[in-house]
Amino acid sequence: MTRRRVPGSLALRLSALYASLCFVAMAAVLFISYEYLDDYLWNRIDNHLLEEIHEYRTLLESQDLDFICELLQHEAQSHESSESFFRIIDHSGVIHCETDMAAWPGVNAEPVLIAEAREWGSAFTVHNHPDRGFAVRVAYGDLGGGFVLQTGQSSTADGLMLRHFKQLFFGAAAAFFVCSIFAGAIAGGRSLSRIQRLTAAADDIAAGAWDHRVPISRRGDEIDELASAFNTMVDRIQVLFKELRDVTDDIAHDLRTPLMRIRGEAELALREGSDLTGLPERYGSVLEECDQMLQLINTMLEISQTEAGVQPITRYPVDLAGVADDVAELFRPAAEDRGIRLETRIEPAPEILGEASRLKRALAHLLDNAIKYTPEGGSVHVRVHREGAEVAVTVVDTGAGIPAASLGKVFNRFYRAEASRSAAGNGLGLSLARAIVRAHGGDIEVQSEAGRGATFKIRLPI
Amino acid sequence: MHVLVVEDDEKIASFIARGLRQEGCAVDTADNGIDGFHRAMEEHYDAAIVDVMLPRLGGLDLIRDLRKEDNLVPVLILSARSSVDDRISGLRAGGDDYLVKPFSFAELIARVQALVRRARSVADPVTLAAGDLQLDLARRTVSRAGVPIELQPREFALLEFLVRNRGRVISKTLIMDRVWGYDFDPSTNVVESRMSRLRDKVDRGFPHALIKTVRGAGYTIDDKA
Repeated sequence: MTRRRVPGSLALRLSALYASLCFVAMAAVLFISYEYLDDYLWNRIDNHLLEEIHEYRTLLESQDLDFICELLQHEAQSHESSESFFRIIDHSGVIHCETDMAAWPGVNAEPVLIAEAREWGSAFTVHNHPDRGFAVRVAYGDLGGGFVLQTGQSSTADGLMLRHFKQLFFGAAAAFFVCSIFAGAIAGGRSLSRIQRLTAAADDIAAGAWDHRVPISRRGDEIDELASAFNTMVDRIQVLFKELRDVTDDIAHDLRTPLMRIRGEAELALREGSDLTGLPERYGSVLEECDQMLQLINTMLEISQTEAGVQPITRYPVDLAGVADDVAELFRPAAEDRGIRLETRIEPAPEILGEASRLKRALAHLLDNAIKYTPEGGSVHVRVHREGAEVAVTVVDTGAGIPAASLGKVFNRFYRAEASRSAAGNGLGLSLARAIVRAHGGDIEVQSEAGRGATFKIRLPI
Repeated sequence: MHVLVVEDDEKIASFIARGLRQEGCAVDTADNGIDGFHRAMEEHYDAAIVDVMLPRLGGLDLIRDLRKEDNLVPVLILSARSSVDDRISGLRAGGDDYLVKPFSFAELIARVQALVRRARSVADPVTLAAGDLQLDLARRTVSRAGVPIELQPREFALLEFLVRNRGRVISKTLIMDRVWGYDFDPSTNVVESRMSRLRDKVDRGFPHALIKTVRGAGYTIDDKA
């Protein structure tokens, strides 16, 4: 065996595929979660800033600006001033009051955004603080009375959270990737190890261990189906193999016997030298033996070629009644000489499609058999009639019949019941008849009881 | 009749040649395709018997080459293979008939004679005779020494075949196949029974029996009393 082996190459490909699919799915889920969280966090800051703006606008309706400025300073002191700032500006951009802006360098009041806030009620921007790692969200809100509140909140806390999340994201993805490779390898490997068992079994069987079979798990999955199909195939091959061996043995036997006779005749003729008495008879018997061997070989070939469809049936309309008549007439003198009544009952039947000469041959073998096994004074009936969508040809004899144990084997090549071993013939006639009938899409069956004759029935589709 | 035999198996070539000479033919042999081709081109033959498997130039190629040179000698192809495809390719190459080995000599002669008759466009004779036996093929009637004999169609066909091949031994298998169209050797006495009825009609009451049995080999009509 020169099978090229790439160990586990299929397992590797399967697990890689599995791992990448898992990884892509995981990455997609994580990415969507990240985006969603980011969006959520920004919204939370914006809502908080809008709430502040709303609160101060309500305050300004009842209080004056100075009070609000004081309140802002107060609020700012109680809060962590690095987290948020407030600034009140009028429409011309003049700052009226603000929290300590030392921690917010570069955050200015932008006239464009002030105008936007006046028009729309609020405006947002993002300020990227050079010293801080994270962006500052800045909102402008119209407080009414010609004033605008500029307030901002650092996203430091959220940013850190997102950063953690991102780390978690990559960590989880990496872990997941590794896990899915292992999971893929294990899952693929388990299936593939069963396939490898199948391969090993096939190799064993090819090497001659014909009794070897692949174990089947009770999972009932595709691999079990494959294993079961494989076992069925090996069963079938084993049967065919045995049949072939038996047939070869039979052929060898059936050829050796006539060869022995020919050889014996020739050797004896040489020893006897110039004594030519009986020479024509000897040559005659040699010819006879040769013809027998030839017949055997030709019939064997014909059976296998018919079974294999090497010589397909040519299909023309055939009148089976005519075929049966012709065959019966061929055998009539032979039957008479044996004291056997040959009766035909031929009913009109539709034509079938097939090859008349081969069908004649099949029927001739049945009749030859029936006459051979029927004793003097017996009878052979040939009947043709329609049976539904088929035309049936039956040959009934009153011979010794076939024992029940042999019924299943009479169509096997070379099969001859013990009782008929001594009779002429090579045990191929019924096999050929069946091969021919089956090639026509029909079938042949036998019924018999020991001592009460036999009935062979050919059925052919119309 | 001048016949060319192209066959590389020495023994087979020798027995074909001997048999044909016994039949009164002049026979030349060649044991390879090239020699066979040259001989066929140099001389005029009435028929050629060509084996398919030949050294130097295969039988089918030999026939094709002959046909290319407009050599129309009737060719009987010999082959050890009987498949339909082989037959078809043999006839396509320009062969006129096809015979599968092993064959009976009677069959070979019958085929060669048929080829020659066809090539010479000789009309089939209307009557055949063997000794005092007369067959009228058109009317399907038989008489011996002027006495009409009633025969069944199968008996007539059998007698016709024997008379056409008179002097040659005809085997039972050949009768089954060529006369009645059944290509098998029955284990019951199909041929013997028919033959004994034919003999009853043809030979009974005549001092000289025309139909003779050759044990193990078959039957022959021998009119050289």
